[in-house]
Amino acid sequence: MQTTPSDRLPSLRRRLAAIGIALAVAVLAVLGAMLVSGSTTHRVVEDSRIHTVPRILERQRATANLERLIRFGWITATATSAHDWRQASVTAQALAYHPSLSFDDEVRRQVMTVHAIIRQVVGKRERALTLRTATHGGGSAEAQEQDREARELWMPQEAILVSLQGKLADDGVRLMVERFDRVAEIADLTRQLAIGAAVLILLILAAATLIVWRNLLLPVLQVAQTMRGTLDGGAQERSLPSPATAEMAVMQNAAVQLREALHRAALRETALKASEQRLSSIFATSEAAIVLSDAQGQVMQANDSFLRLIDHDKALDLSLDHLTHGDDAAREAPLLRAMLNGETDRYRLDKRLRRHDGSCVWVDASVRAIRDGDAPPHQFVTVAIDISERMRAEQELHFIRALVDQSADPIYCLDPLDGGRMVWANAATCRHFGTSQKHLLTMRIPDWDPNIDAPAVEAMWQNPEPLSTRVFETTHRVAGGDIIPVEVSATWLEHDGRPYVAGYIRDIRDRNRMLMAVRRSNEDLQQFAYVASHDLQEPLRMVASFLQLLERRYADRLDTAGREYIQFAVDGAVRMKQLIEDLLAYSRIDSRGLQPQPVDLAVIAQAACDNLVSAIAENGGRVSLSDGLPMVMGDQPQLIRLLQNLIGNALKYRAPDRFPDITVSAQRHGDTWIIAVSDNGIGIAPQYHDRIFMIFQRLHGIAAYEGTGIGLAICKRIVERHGGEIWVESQENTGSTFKFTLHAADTAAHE
Amino acid sequence: MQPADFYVTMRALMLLCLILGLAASPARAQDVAVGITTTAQPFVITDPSGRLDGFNVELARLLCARMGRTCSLEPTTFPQLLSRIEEGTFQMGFGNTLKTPEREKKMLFSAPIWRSTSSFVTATTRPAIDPTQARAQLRTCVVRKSMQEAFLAAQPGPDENIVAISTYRELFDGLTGGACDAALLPTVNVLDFLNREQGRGYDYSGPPVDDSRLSGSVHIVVSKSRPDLLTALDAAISAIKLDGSYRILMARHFPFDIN
Repeated sequence: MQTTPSDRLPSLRRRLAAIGIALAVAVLAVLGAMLVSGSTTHRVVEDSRIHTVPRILERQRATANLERLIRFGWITATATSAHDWRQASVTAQALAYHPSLSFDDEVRRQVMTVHAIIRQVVGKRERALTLRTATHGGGSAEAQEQDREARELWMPQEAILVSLQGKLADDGVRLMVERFDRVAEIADLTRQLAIGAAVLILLILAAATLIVWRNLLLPVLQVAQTMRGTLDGGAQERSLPSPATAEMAVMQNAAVQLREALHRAALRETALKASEQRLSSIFATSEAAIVLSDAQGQVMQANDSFLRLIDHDKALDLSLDHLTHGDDAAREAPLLRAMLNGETDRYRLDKRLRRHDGSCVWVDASVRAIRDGDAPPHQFVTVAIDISERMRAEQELHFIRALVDQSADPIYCLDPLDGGRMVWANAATCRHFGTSQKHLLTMRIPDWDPNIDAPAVEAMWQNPEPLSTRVFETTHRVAGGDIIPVEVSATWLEHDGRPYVAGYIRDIRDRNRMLMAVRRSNEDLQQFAYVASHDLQEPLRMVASFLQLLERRYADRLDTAGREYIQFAVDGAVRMKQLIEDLLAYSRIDSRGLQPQPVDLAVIAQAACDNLVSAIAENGGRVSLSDGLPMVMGDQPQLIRLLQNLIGNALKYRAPDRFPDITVSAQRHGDTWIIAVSDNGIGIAPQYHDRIFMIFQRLHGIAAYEGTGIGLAICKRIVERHGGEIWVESQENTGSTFKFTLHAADTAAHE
Repeated sequence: MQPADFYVTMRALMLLCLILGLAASPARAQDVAVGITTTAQPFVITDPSGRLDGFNVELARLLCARMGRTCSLEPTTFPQLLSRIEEGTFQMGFGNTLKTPEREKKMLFSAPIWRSTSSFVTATTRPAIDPTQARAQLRTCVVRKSMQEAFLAAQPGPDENIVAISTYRELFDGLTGGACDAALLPTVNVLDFLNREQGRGYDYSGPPVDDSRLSGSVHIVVSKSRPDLLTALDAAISAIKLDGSYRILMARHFPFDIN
């Protein structure tokens, strides 16, 4: 058992008990002393009443009887009447023998002596009486002598009896003094006892008061002051003195615990208020819709998000039962019933809430019951999150998945971290490979691609390129064991922090066949165009030569119309020759082109300008090359021709009222460069922006601007051969900007 | 019938009616029947009309008054007194009774009222009597059932030498008439006899008998059935001693303090 510090302290109860015992002992001692004193006093009083007082009274009675004895003796000795002295003597004799004179030996002895004398006196008086009777009155002298002797005999007895009286009086006084001394002694003892008891009790009371003050009252006052300060909310902590007793330690500990509890309660209250404020703030500002309802579903409180969600202005008179869509209410009923039965405290359900306009909104509703103990819930808190977008996304996802699933093209997904194992495949993939999806999901690329470069694939797995797509052609072992060519579009994806590769398989057997056919057709056509244009030039040159010969030799024989006709034929032949040359050049773009390589666009632009130096000078134009024209991938001669055509067009279609001002610039865009050739010419209406790139298409008559209308078609073909695009940005009379894209030279390694 | 006899008869009838009436009246339950021995003066004096007086009579009336009791005094002899106290027909008895163990078994004793000794009384011509030889040598009159009779009975001697008599009057008559040679009786009781003419020539014979049975305190006896009466009686005795009534009463009847 562990001992607490308070257990090691002395017990207040023991101290108080010790005080009580000391006080009780003192009181008992005092009471004992008083009892002894009282008993002694009582004994003295009783002794006085029983012994002293009777003894004093005895002596008083004896003194009185002695006085009577003196009188009776004197009467006996001196009375004249015989009757008197005889009666006195009898009485004196009876008195002498009375016990009242027998209590003291000396008195008894003296009285007996006196009684004997009285008997002698009586004898003498009897003899005197006898003498007088015998002499009839004579003999009086002898009788008188007898009487005198009787008196003389008696007289000394009076002194004896008086002396006895004095002795008895002295005895009485002595008894009284002794008794009074004893009483005084008892009184003194009683007074001393009382003083001692009072002092003892005062000392004990003082000690008790000191102990109670130090061990009880003062600590209690300090604890009370501390508790009052604590209850008044005093923040400063008052230190309590070291407890003197275990009880005070308990009280101080209780006070400290109370103070700590109050402090904790204050902190909790503050935290609760802050929490309430936060909750209220959260409730008010939460994007989630929060609603508090009673057991009947009646809305008691709802935040703005909820009202916005259901498009209501206020929460009064709203019922969640009515707000819930009928189909969803049927799904929710068993969940609500289970909660009412105490089987659960919460549930979560996706359901639809009716909006004010009758439409529905999907929400993710989390419902929690509020109950007191085991009682049925009396309130419900519902947190509803608008999941309309999610539901739409899910529906779209379902739709997309259905599309993917039902796609005629095989689509699959590989896990690069699992050696490229197929982790998902649509039905078309199953049909493509002629196996079940279950079996497919155990396969890896080598299982279906016999020509796979395994080390390259493994290296690819080790270096994922998120969101990058690579299209490549390979072969697949398909249903029936045939190996067929396919085009695979592989895209790096990431899902849940894990890389995946999605593959799109396209059977390219038909495309390859068509491509081969087209390629052969193009080659035939190019060969035909080349042959046709080359072979057509010779007869056309012959026609033109002979027309010119005819004009020289026979011009004077022809009239003006004839000469004019010959001139028309010559012009037609020249123009046809130009058309054939342009067509031949157009066809040579693909057949005579070089492999793209890094070229300096500034050099190319400068070469184009050099070729046009006379035209530029003739038109008074100015060509500006921007700084930093890049290195691009391309066929240099074709690119010179491309810029030459564009700059030449800018010079040809100059505005009549201003000199041509042409700028060649470049802007990086991803892996490509966008090269722009801007001019301040007549511009092109937007509806003609596509037409101008078609072969032999002209926007102006031959008389306005010379040319065959193939220049921009050649530009378009050159750009497309380089894998780029060309377009124009222009408005009529505002100049034009021709832009085209070329692969940047620094990315060529990745192609 | 002589007038005197008539009066005596009528008085007896009236006394009888009174006794019967008192006995038959339940409302007089607090009345106390008091027996008083007709001893020598000054304890009891009976005048010629039969009216009782004397020290014991006044003491009885004084104590009854102090106790708030109505007492009916009835003269009786000492033997009758002891018998009726024992029977309970007397609730209180004044007979100058000494306390002995035997008597304490039969009756209650009040606080002492006075002290007595016993003395032989005989003719002055006779020599002093030796108490131990009194029975052997003298015919001695004693009151019947008294301690004096018991003392003599304990002494050697013939039975005829103990002359037991019921009353003091008969005892003194017997002493002077020659029925006995001496009398043994309380010393104080002899004073009146010695001071009367009848007692001429008689005197105490020596000092009182030195025997504890014959001297000591004199008490009023109470029936054992009335301890309440004893308590009230003792309180009354203490009261009259403290207020001086007893001393005055004693001084009126005795020449010295017999207490």
